[in-house]
Amino acid sequence: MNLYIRSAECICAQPTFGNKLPNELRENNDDFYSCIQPDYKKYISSNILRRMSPIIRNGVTCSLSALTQAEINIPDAIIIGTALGCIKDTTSFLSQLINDKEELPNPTSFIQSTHNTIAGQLAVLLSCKSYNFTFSQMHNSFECALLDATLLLKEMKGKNVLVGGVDELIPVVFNMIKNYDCYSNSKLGEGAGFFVLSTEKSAVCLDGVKIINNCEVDFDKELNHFSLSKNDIDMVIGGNTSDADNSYNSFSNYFENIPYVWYKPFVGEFGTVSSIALWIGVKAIEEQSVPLCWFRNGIMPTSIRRILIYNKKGTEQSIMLISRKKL
Amino acid sequence: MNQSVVVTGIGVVSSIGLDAQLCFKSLLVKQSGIAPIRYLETVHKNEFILGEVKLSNKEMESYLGISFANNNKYSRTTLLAIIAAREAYEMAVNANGQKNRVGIVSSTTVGGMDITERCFLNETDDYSFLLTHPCGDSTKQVADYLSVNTYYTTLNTACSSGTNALIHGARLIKHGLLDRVIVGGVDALTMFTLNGFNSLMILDKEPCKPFDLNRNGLNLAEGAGYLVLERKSEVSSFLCHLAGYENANDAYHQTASSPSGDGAFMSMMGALNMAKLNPDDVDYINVHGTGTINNDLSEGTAMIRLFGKDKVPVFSSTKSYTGHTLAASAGIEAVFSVMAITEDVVYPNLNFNKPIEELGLIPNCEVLRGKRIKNVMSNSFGFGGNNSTVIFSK
Amino acid sequence: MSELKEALKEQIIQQLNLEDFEPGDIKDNDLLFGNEGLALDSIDALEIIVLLEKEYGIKISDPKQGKEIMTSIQTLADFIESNK
Repeated sequence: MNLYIRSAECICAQPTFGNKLPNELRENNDDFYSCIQPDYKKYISSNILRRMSPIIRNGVTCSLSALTQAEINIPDAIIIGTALGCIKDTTSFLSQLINDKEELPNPTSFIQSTHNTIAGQLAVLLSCKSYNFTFSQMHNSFECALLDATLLLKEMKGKNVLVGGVDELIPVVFNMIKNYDCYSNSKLGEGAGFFVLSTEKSAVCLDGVKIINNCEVDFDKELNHFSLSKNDIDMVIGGNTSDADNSYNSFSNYFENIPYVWYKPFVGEFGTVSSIALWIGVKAIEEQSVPLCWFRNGIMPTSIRRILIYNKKGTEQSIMLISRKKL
Repeated sequence: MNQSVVVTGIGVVSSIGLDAQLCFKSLLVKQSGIAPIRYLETVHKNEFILGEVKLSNKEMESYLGISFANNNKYSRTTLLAIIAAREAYEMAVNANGQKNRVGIVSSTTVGGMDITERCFLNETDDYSFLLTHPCGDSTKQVADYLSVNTYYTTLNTACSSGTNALIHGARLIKHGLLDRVIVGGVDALTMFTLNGFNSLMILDKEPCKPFDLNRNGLNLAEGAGYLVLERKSEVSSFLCHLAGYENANDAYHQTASSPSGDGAFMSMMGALNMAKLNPDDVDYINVHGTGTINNDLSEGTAMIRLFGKDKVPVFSSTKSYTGHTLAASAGIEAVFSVMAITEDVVYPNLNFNKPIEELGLIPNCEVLRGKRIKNVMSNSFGFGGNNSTVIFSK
Repeated sequence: MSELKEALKEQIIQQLNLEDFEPGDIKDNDLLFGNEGLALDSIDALEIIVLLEKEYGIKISDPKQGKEIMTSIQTLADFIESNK
């Protein structure tokens, strides 16, 4: 059974929202990458917006736009991945109760601190009474959500699933995770990538998502699984944060001479950043071109039929494969 | 893909016992684990009663035979998860041997919050403590500890999390992506959740009274509960079938359940449909039954809608023993549901006195034995309108 | 009394993050909850209970009791006055 990506939307530090792949990349001189904020009020009424932290605003707005593009009013399921969840509300409730010695903390930040607030808010806003999941598994949070969405659709439990990844960056988190060894070469970021995954045909096919833990990835074997070889891949999207990031050496070496797009140097690193990579891949196939600024190795593809997206942090790795389908 | 999924192992740790058998004994002798606060550091120490697991972190470590060596930081959440997951996993291995591709789908609402709190309290610059904060951390620790790391992931859909972990895990087994999966949930008691639920004014300072007219809120608690799932065609022995499950959304309010209990109705109905059962076939419902005004009324309304006013099956809330263990509750109650089937028993609901006027529903208040318990339904509902139901069958 | 009501309006706007409202937009007898007026909900009710305790030292332990008290700015002010 083929599964298609009917629409894709993205909020990050680059002007991606409601847009094609940007031709020019914004420079960033801060310590980290913040999202370019869309006009939330176009999507969410101010009575609801008033309680929403950035992650909820970005997740909900990105979702609503992806649904509009796919011309779907109510999806058959909502599945979201987030590595750290509503960390701003979490830390603000925690700081408040510690500073005030557990006297009268405000309930709103506690209520909004639950990881599934974004998916729950979407359910209420859309009157969507169906399946509603939120995954939180560090750097594979988005991939787990995407995997669950593919399994659900294969079980014929619906036609259109809203699936996405979202995280927010706040100073506490910034201080907290900049000390991770694996972040030493990276600027941190935040953002959201949401998609309508569907059984109904469209231009981009999701051929597979695979999560690989605790071992070196054998790309020959993984491609073989899809009856593919290296030569079938027109472009790869890699998760290295800089040229100094050598955790991607075996990946880069394997796909040497194949057009190589990277994105973390422009949007930063975060738990669900691979959702941004998938957005780039979908746009690349839809538009059949990628502006030069996104390429790492200067090799440009002649046509873009098939893209492999690879992400790695520590022992957690993932591969996503997408391809072009003639309509 | 239409593979039958069976339960081959169970493990639990809660305020009423450190393993499945000890919990089962407490259930039969009506021994609640809800008590004055002994371990949690909070200014509300003398104000609330909690369902604490009766071990300090140090005692848990020695119980497990692990320590804080090699810079590995184990949150209380992780320690609880390992206790219950190890019990479940060992049972499955003893019954059916080793399997090739084994994973874990866990769930937690606040992850390693207990360590995060210590870090915030100390105002220390040691941010490495916060490596344990993400929900996925305890899952990864368990996966590494038991060497079940082909695939590991974590759900967080508030208090329905454990059932949703079971649903995702069952899917991985059905689709042949794993040969064996540990599913369930864990949460440790924290200052964060105690104060959070207190700010919502839904904590009872007395033992909770699920489905009682004068119920006045829930008792917070901690613990972990896990099941092991495998394909029926690939095992020689198993405890029961995983017959059906469903997740639905109330789409009503971020925290409150709808008066009509739409989400609860849909999740129970969907699970029945998947199990190909009629409402009459349900022998026992382990209800969500937190003891809050809102939950019990909404859940009871949905039960009456589904089963009919005089046909609601025998039901009880074991939260009157364990307290509300948040993400762990669905895992713990799934284990109790499986044992209800294997032991042909229905557990009593404690502290019930008078039925809720609008419902007239009376939970089972004594130990019921001697009747064959074939199909058990277990409900778990959470914030964000998240409602899940699972059905186990003989 | 009118000072108290003005203060309440400002505190509520600030605490509930009602960005689109000015104190002048809220009339003393406007309904705070329900579909009309400010259209506040049960989460806001909990916030107002915290506000009453923090700002006025009045403790409400039964959320049900809060409902009548929080009908409007007027009923809130009356309640605060009578509990001083």
